[in-house]
Amino acid sequence: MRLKDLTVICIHNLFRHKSRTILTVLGVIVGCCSVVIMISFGTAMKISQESMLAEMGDLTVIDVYLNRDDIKLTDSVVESIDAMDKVKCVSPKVNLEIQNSITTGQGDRYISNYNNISGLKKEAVDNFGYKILSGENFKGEPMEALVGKYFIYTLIDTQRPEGNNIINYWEYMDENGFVDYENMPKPYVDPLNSVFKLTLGNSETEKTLTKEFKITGILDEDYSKGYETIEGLIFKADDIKKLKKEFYRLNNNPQADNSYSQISVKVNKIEDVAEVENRIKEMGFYTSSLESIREPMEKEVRQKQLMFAGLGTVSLFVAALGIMNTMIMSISERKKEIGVMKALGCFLKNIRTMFLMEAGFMGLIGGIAGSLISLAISGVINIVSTENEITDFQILKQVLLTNTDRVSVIPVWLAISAVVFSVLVGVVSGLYPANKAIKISALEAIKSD
Amino acid sequence: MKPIIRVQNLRKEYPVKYESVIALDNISFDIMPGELCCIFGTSGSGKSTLLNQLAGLEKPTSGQVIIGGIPISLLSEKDLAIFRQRYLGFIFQSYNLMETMTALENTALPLMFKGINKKQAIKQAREMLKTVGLEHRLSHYPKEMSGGQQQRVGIARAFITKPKIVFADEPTGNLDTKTTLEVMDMIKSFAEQYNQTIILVTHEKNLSKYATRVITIADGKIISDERKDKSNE
Repeated sequence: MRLKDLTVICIHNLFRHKSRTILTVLGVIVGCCSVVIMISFGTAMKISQESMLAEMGDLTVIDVYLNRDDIKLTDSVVESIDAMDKVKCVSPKVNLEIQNSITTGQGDRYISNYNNISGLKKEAVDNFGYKILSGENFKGEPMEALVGKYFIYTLIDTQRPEGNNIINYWEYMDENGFVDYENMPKPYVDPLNSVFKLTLGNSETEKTLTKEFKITGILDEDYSKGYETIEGLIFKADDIKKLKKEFYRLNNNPQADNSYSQISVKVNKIEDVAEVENRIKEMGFYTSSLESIREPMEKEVRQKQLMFAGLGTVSLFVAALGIMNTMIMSISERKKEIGVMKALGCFLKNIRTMFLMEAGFMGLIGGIAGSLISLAISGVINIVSTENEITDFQILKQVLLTNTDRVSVIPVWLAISAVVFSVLVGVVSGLYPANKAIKISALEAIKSD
Repeated sequence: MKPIIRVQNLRKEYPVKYESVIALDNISFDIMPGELCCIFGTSGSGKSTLLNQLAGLEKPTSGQVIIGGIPISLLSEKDLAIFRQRYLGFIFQSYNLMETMTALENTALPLMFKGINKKQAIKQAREMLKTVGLEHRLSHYPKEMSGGQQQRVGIARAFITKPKIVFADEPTGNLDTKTTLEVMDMIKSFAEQYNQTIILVTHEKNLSKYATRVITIADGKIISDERKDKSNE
């Protein structure tokens, strides 16, 4: 028999006992909803956890520090970490611990003192997730810098009176610490098209070293990446090393040292962090990453998710029993009909398929309705639980779809797998009744009522 | 001419507690193609058991039924289904139409079991229902039809595949005298048209006048087997 014709017969049969079918499907809907809603809580927890961790910093970065005096963080250490698999990028972070001032403009009119300066490799800027607001990454020329978002506002105009000689960006900050960057007044100089001078050393006690440099880009502020992204400057690691060497030689200071105080390692995937971190620890260094926070958090969320899903599954299991019960009842009512079909030459597999399809259909309808109802329930939960005041459609959309503090999140995969799973539950609960059906003898057709 | 049905030493026992009841006691006979054979007997005589055996609805205790050279008790469930699709038709006492299907769909059902597409099956079914005089009841459901009309749908369903053998189990048991005559005439005319063999099981003496042969059964044994000459009718 053709599948299409079988399908039609199935649907007819389901409509024959409307109220029974509806009640059974209702059972599936309740089961499906409880599973979906329960899992949606877990998903929401995971999302808010991830966004929280992301605020704390890059989850795939391991910072390496000195642990013992006898092993230093040298270039060869950088190379050997770089050679490990699953490592995407390694960059030493060189700090310029020398008193400095930066000047620009005619006659060094504008000056900024005691700047936070460090050195990074060019490729590290991209790999470690530094965001460039305007301009671009290092071009590869000598003495280039990327500067923090507000560096340019730290310049003091030496020709203006005290109290009126700086554009204070703190004045443009609202109570949440958010600076209205777009509407700030123009800085004294255009950062990307001016030449700056970096002077190292205290002119009263040391010989000073002055170099010209250009700014290639302005970085977005990111507290997890360090103060350089706010008011400081980042040069290429090699430039900083050279500067230090030159300055110490100038002052006959033997402090010149080729080792670093910190190396940052970027790995390919979150799952690789633990492995790479362990290997670096074995080398004798102290490491720090968000893995130690992330792992127990993720474990906890996973446990909760499992518990939620388990609770939901109980009601789906009850729904499965409902389908089975309905099918067995329906089959014992239709014994004669099955007998007639057999006597007329219907294949057993057709009869089996027919009953499996009926059970599957109940699962399908229940699954689709259940998913839709779950979406509605989830929406209501989010609207009720949100702290935002819903004043327009835009905010409603955020509350329902994008906020990270949502209590219930139903991703597309969850809705689809809920439907697929419900159909499966239907078909599996139909197996036993369907096998019962094909054992019914064709003799039932002859028996008188 | 070879017999279409051969019954050889057919025996059927039903276990009842510690002993068994013998429903068919080593019966043997042949049925020739084109015969309208009436199996006659009172209730409990074993005639229904014999029908079940002939149609392969249950397995014999011993002996065998050979239809067209094939011992049907040896067929697998799947082959039996194919065998029924190709060679057998059924008419039941209580019509046994599918409640959820119209007259057309009911008639087309055996064709659909064969895997013929619905459109074509329905087309043939329409022709068939016309022949039994139900062209005005095509889209009616069984509940909306009288007993006689339902049985005519049953007949259309039994003959639509042009089977070699049609089994009729008390086909007029639930019908009044007038309808009984109509239904029997219809069965007979179909059978003659396609040279089909009809096995008619009944306890009504007056139906035997349609038969070309009457086998009477009592206590699981054949007590008489009369062949009527066609020209005598």
